[in-house]
Amino acid sequence: MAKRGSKTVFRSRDGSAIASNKASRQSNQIGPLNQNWPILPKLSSAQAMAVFSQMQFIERMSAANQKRLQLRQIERVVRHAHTTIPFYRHRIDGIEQIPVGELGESFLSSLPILTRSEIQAAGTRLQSTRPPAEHGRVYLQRTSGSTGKPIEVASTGLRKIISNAHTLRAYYWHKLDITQKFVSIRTAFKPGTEPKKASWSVIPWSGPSKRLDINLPISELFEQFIAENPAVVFSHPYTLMLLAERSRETGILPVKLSHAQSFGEALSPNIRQTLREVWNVPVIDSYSATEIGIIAHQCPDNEQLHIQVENVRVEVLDDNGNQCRPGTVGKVVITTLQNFASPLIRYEIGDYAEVGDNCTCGRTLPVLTRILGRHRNLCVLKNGERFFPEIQSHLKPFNHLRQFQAHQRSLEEIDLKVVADRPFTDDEKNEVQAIIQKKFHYPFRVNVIEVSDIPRAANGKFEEFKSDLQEARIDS
Amino acid sequence: MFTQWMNSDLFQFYQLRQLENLMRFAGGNSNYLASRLKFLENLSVGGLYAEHLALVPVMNISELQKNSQKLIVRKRLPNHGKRRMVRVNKSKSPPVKLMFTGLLDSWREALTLRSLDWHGSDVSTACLRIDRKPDREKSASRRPWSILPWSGRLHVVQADRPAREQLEELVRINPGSLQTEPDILQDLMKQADLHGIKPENLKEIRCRGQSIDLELRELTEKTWGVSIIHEYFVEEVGLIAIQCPSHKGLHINSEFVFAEVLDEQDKPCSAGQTGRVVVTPIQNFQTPLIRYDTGHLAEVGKPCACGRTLPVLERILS
Repeated sequence: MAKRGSKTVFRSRDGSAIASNKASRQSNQIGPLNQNWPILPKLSSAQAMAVFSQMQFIERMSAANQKRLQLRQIERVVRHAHTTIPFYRHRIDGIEQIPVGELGESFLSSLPILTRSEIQAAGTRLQSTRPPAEHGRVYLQRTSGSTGKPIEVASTGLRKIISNAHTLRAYYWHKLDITQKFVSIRTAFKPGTEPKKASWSVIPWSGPSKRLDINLPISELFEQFIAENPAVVFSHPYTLMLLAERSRETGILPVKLSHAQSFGEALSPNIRQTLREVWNVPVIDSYSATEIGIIAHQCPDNEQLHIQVENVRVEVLDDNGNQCRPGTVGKVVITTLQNFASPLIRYEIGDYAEVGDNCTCGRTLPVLTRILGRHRNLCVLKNGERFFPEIQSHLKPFNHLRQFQAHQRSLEEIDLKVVADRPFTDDEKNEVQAIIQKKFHYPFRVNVIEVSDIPRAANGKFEEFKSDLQEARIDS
Repeated sequence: MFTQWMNSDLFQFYQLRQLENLMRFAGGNSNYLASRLKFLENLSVGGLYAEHLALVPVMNISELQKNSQKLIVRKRLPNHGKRRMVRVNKSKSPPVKLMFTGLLDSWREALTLRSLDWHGSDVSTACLRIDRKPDREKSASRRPWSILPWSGRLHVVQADRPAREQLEELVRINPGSLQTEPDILQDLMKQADLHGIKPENLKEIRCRGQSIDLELRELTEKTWGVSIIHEYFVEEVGLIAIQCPSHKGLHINSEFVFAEVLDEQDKPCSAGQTGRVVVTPIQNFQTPLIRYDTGHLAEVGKPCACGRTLPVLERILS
């Protein structure tokens, strides 16, 4: 140990500094001598850790037991919604006739699907008149809304605790070193709301955390990201890819980075590959929504997603409203289990997902193989067929292409906005059209439109493909 | 949960700071301990290294029996919960009285959860414990066997009942987990083998004790198709080490106990060497046992391939 002014520095045998009194206090780590180790955490952190401990066992219990426990929790939510939320009073018809403890899957499946427009129209009628006091403070949560149509739900302190427990599960599964630095890149804090001290988990000796504004120009964001030099970065896949591409161009690497975590957009295999090539880091994907919280975390053994059954019941339904089998794709319908202030019961979130089979990792949590995107990301063909297009890998031969976004305007026409180092020649434009026609199996007219920038949505999300036709279908 | 993957340098740093906290507290609140921890007077705050421990005399069981009252710190610690006296019976020697706290109870539960987690236990099944302590059968009935809310019932059978009766209870209760000690299990297995009895639901056998013979492990695997999970438990200390889920060695619960394995010259043994197990439970501030010789021998293991940075004891010898 050496003393420098008022600062006490603790050193390892080789002389390198391990921690100091001052640094420990500043980074929210353990004070070397004034506190017990491991620390007895404050109540909300201890509750999150206790929930996380239970989740360690839930994820490996038999699927039947897991389902039984989940069903009892759903019953609590549904009965609470029926008695205290005006919006649900008539939607949950017939529940009074079901004896307590006997609400079953068939009753749940008979409840109507809740749409985004219904949530918007319901307003405060979707909020409980008597949220349980033991669930803590009730506050309003507003989605950022990629479509410009945000929704607002009430949430509780309990949901925050459960959410922290799920965050711990992801860190634990992927063995992230939480003593290191964490950077999240998302919408900026509102002025004056940035916490003075931020650490990236409820574990008392977590390392520091920094939030960067996703809406900054990419060059500025990249500079800040490199300056922070984190061990883990958390952002939307597209933003991660832009940062990695910037690293490739400049040769400047985030040298301490060990993992990237993604959320908010469908993660394509191309983006995983780019981050692996440029930064040599794996991407850990997650599936979540502001109005719901966590829906699924990536398995530590493969790229599939495990549904977080303690927080949500997920149904993946085909066009006839039947449950999809493993290997098939359907609409995601969610029931929230922990929000008693504004529970969402059979909410059609607008995403499509592929159902997975039992996971080889041994966890019994159900599996989604991949999230494909939202209704508006589906390309519609004249014969009624719909599919999620993947364009990026096909445009790789155009080295001068920096950024693009495809926009289906009609059944015949696609606009392709491009940001490029030089203008596209007529031959190149024809080549792009030919590629899209071949890959989409339809003779679309492709308008290549050169622009200086393609802005992301207000919430920082970016869509590689969107269709006006699907947008029109949802609105109707 | 997270400390098991922590960088080992950082882990050791925090563990030594906690050990120093304990020593300074003990030296400041007990004249007997102050005389054993004299070296602290010349040590700057935060300056304790593992090598300094050689300056503290090792305490064996007879010294503990003689001085246990002097070890107890009377000062009440606000965050350590309710205090209680515990009587520890050592074979062939008079019992020892120690003061335990509510905090230590929490540690016991936390380490039990760690063991259950590592070995993927299904706590929703029943558990049968064959216990040496008297009068446990009635008090334990209808109690869950872990703090997890969906835990199954704990059933207790006294170890002094004949093995044949213990086996009958095992068949009747049909538990998913059996908890006992190696010698009790040995007798039980003999009976089971003799009568060709196999408990249908049994998924795990947790053995708390010092050493587990290879023959006993093989016998349970052959007869019942169930593996033994070894937990190294010393009553006056707590759960010192738990068998790794990936191999037969044990990981020391280093957040709870500072363990040394010492050779005949009291020097720390390296991997592959066998020596005396000397422990300091770093969470018990009410009865600080500093460098307590458990009377057991252990072989030091290499860092484990499972990725956990907790130190390894390859095996415990009686």
